Amino acid sequence: MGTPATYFRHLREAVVSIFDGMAVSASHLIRRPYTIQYPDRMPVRVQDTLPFRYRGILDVDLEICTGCLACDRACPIDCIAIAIEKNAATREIVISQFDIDLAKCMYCGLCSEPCPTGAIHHTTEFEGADFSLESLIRRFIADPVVAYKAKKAAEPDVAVADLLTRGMTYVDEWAQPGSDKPSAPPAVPAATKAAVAPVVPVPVPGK
Amino acid sequence: MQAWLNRLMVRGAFGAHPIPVLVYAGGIAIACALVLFAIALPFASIVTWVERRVWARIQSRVGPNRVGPNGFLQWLADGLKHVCKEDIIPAEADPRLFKLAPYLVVLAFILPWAVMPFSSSLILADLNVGILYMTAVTALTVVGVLMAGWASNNKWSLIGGVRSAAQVVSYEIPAGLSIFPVVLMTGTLSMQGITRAQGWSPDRWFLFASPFCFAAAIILFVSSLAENNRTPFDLPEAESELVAGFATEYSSMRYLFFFMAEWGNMFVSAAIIVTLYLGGWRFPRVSPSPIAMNLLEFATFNIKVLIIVFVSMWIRGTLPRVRIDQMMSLCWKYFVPIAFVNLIGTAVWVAIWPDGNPFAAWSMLAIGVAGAAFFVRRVVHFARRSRMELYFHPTI
Repeated sequence: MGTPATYFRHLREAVVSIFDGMAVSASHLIRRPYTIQYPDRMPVRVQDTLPFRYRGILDVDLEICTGCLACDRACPIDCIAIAIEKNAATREIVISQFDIDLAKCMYCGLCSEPCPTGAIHHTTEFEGADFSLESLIRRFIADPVVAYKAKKAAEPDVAVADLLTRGMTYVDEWAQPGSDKPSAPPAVPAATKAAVAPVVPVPVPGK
Repeated sequence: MQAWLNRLMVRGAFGAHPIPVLVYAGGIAIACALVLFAIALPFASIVTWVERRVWARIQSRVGPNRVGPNGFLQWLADGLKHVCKEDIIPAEADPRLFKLAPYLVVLAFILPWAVMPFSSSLILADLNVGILYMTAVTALTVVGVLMAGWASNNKWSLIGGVRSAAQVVSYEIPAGLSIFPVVLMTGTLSMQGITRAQGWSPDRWFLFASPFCFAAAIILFVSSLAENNRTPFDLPEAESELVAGFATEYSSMRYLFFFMAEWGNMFVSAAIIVTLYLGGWRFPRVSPSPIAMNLLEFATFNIKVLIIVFVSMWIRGTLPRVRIDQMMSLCWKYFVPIAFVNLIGTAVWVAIWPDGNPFAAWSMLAIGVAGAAFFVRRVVHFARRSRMELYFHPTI
């Protein structure tokens, strides 16, 4: 117990520290809780709050896919399966299958790096739970589609031009580490924006 | 025959209209059941939800809010879940004692309600030894807990039970010594007598009657936390050391009994403090109707009790668990000597001012208000320093 002075010092310390401790916890009682009530009681979806470069579930914009197979070759675990046919007469590539097995995908991002147009890219979507492995295979193609080919002039289709802008921003930022903020939406109309997104797809290597 | 029948009549309270003893006993039984089912059990259950919400807010969380409006029906869901679980009795346990222990604990929680002074008329039995009875029957808990610890045949249960016994027996002493100052001032042990000796206004509460009474009230409060195995004295069920202490081997309804008793005892010990030091049910006489007055008094009593219960939840959200040597040193080195000083000081006080000292009461009240104001300032200081958005809504 020590001297009487120590005894009373202990008493005083106990009273003072409990008094302050109670004040701290009372101040927490009047603060807004930190808890984010995912998933059903959110002011905004979590997906919308994630950064542009978030590596969520892969998505493919088939409108701008060139069928170059760069992503297929880059994938370290072969979760991407693409089937293409070349039409020698029209020099077009027809994509008849584009599957990504999300059960295998490890979200490394190596497929979206070599993509010339940014067609294959990660989204901020991450809720992929399902009841069977088969349903985790995302099949992007039902009917064969003709692959995108780079135009000499600006892209005439507004929707495709938008996709290209987005895709090239995505690809461009791989080359410039540090610029990991989504680009501000340009004020110019989408049709005149083709100059901002110089689409120069790499030549499709022959098989 | 007539004489025998007359002996069976209860005259006492009913004077000219004696009623048969069986009717009287039946009425008492129904009244007891009503009090238990209308107040004790719902309180013990619903307070679990309140407590979890309060802790959650103290920890900047939300807490249970999914079952029913704001999670209000969480207690019902938890209760149903426990009832539906398998009631396991370990093979090596002593089955008779193992089964008996939860009932003793619940008994210790239910018996004090007999002398609970809810209002001027609403009390089951105004015993002339009310407060003594209250402390005696609440101490029954230790028998049940020790029995549970022994019968489980489990090292954690046994350590938990023994710790609980040591704790409850130790803290009975400062708690008992902190009841005596009030008994000295009123000269009665009856709950109603003690309540009636106080006034509705805080300056005539025993809390502010003298510095000794104030200290005694604090000691009584902290000791009651220890007797109920509440944080920071929850060593008997310290999860990090003893799994669940004496309740380790229990499951299903028996486990529920232990925790119902633990939470219900919060009401009981808060009621003791309210009756002894915070003016009990006293309310200014605003209405000639006895029913209206009783309702107001009932509300007053319950609000005071709930405030004390809230403080005990708040302490549980604030303080960490003490070590067993710290707990014992707090009891024997600090509380017991201070409680004795309080007792002697109150005796001298009563000898000097047999009818109380209004000046001292008002000074104590002023100091109390100043302390509360300083406390609010500290709260505001900490809230501001955090630079967090303030949020006063009690639910989310």
